[in-house]
Amino acid sequence: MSDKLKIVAACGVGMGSSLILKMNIEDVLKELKVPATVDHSDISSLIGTNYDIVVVQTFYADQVKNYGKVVVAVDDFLNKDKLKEKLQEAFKTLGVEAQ
Amino acid sequence: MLESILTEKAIKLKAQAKDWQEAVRLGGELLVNAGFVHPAYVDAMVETVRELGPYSVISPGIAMPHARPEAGVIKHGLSLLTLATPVEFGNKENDPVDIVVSFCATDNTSHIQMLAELAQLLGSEEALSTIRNAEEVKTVVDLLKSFKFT
Repeated sequence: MSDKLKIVAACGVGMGSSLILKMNIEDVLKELKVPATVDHSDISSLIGTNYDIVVVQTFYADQVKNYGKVVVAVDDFLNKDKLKEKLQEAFKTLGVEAQ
Repeated sequence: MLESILTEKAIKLKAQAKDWQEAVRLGGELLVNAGFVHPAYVDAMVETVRELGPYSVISPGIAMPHARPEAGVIKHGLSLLTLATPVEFGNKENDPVDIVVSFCATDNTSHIQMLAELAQLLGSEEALSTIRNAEEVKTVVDLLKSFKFT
């Protein structure tokens, strides 16, 4: 895959938890050496977008399934280990190499 | 940076709240006390949590309620409230909540550094346990001063 992955972290308002989530995703990407761009957004602004991976809280997962190839649902925004596991699964689904 | 925002005025420990609304109000009042927001922002916080559901509970036991910048923000800031008795926010994975971190920002980007440090602090189990058990505000203030932010 030559293009960078496009990932978005989304939450209700798009300025709090999604921002924290974005920072944690960036840390995980650095660790796994996966090149990607990470945006953050509120849920309603996702309409019309098409990301490779959309990361949201579990109860938004259904709502956002049309805005990304893979939806990653998390319950704990601060748990980087869990986030890493779930992103690794997503990379596998997308056929992206990760370390 | 965090220690200059989360000052004594913005911290209240082992408070009593009968439900999530009261907890959010108490957290919001700390933002008012510290000069970060106008009182109207506190009402907007309660409305935002009501409107968007239990999304504000970001981690087990930790809620991060806030409203939008246009709801009466003076400058970006944070407050920390811990509860003597945890309350339910309606988030079945992460309830009950005993740490309420309220925040406000003037736009979508100026508070990034503040949230980055907050995420580091709350991501540390040791720091979290100090905050949870703290009886005196000074304990938290000292923690913020000594915490190694990267």
